[in-house]
Amino acid sequence: MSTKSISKDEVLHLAKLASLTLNEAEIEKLTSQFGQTLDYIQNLDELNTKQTKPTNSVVDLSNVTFEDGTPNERKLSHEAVFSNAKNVKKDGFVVGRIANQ
Amino acid sequence: MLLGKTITEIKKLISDKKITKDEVFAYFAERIANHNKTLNAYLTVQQNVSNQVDGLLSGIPLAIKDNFCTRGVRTTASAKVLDNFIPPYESTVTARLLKEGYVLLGKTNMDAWAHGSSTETSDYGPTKNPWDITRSPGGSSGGTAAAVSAYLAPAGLGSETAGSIRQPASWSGVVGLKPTYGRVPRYGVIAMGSSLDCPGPLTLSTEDAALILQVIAGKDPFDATSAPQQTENYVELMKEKKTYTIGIAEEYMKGLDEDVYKALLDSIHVFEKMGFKTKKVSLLSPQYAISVYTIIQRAEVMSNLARYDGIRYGNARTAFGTEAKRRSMLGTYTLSYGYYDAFFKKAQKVRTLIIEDFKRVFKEVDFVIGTPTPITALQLGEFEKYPFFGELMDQFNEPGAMAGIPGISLPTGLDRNGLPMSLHLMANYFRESDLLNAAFQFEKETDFMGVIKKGIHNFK
Repeated sequence: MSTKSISKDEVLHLAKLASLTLNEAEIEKLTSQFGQTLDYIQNLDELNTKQTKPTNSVVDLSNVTFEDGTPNERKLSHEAVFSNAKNVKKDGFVVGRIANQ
Repeated sequence: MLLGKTITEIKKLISDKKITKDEVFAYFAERIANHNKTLNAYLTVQQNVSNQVDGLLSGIPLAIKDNFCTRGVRTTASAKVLDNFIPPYESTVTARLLKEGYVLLGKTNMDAWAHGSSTETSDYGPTKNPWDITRSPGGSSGGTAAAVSAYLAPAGLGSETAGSIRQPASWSGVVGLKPTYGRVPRYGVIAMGSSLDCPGPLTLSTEDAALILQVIAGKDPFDATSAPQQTENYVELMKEKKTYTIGIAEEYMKGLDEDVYKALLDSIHVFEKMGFKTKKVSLLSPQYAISVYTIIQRAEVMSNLARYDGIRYGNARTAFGTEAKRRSMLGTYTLSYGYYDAFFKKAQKVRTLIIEDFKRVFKEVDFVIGTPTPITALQLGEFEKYPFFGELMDQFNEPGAMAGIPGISLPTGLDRNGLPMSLHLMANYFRESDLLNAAFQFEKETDFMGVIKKGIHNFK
């Protein structure tokens, strides 16, 4: 089995994609551990799945919907929706700017 | 008078007016006050709560894992990201418990976001195993397992993605039931792996597990993946005298500690003496399920943890612990362009193979027997040595979890270090009543309660 290695740069790229920040110790640790994990999971290549369909869900259900007119019992009050937010202005959550002016 | 009493027994004491509901709550509140400092089983403890509703669980106080949203009561999933989160709504499972008269004792510690098998990834420190406080109670539902084992609650709720009920039940010497995926709704349970997550009870007896399942199982309009199949009267069906055929798969007998292996063989003999048939069967090696689980669970973790932006609730993403980062990033990797087919899709296909494998075997036998974990409780700190420690500890739970079938962990005895050991039975989809029936017979036939009672007496 070939050894999969993953570079420090790749780890940093993944952190960026996942919107996570890593400290130096974590970068070091995760870089070496990703390699080990990727090595292990290659054992799946031993199994022939050419004729096999993928499983998305073990539940044999599709198009589960509410009947029209079902009352929305989960609806939260305005107060409840904002009760855990740190930064609220008027009727909204304050978020960071994502586009430059 | 109460020490070691099951829910079923406490219910009788209350209905016979030998004790009041308030006295029951006060009893457990006092035990928590005395012992929680040592064990760190609870993160949040409730004071003087009561529930006047009359139902199947009138006045019964329970420990609830801290990933079930409880309205108005802090819920953290043991993660600093949710340090100050007060849910504005109630999970379906705890809402069903409330409707039957239960009282929330407190919220129990777990691995952060349920990522782990030892409670050591908790941002609030690990829970200690009541059998030996230098050891882990298992996880991720380790707080509930320890609370039940040390009788800081007569029973509690945990949740499983793959092994998080059965493994801590085993390491802490209590009963743990993982229902069929979809049997118990996930609404309001902080999601880890959405195609896998499954709430279930940790209890002192089979009957208590059946009782709690009866309350929490059933279709929920708020969870589209919950199963529409009729639930059964688990407590009644459990008591019918039935005999079953147990499958013995060599693949599930490998790599076990010597004592654990011997206890498993002894348990098989007990079932044979009870009139059960045994039959050799062959299943795919659990080694493949470890890989399938590692890939699919991390992909689902990645998408579930993406919602925590600290804007609507909780703290910023910088508050994530290392384990959550590790899992999110591996999930990001296996789902990314160029790797999706090689990892994620391949894992989904092998998941199909695992399902077909179980379906084939369950045409021949009612159960497959094994142990929930290859070894007994490890010392705290051991998990640091492995990048996917949980996956190794839970290798016998992962195949069933990937397939979505139910399983139960039952105490069998103590190993050379005086630590509890367990057996594991898996059954076909929605066969919880058969699992509980066999468990109930096994409980009566063995010193199973002796193990549990000894555990309780660790903390007098």
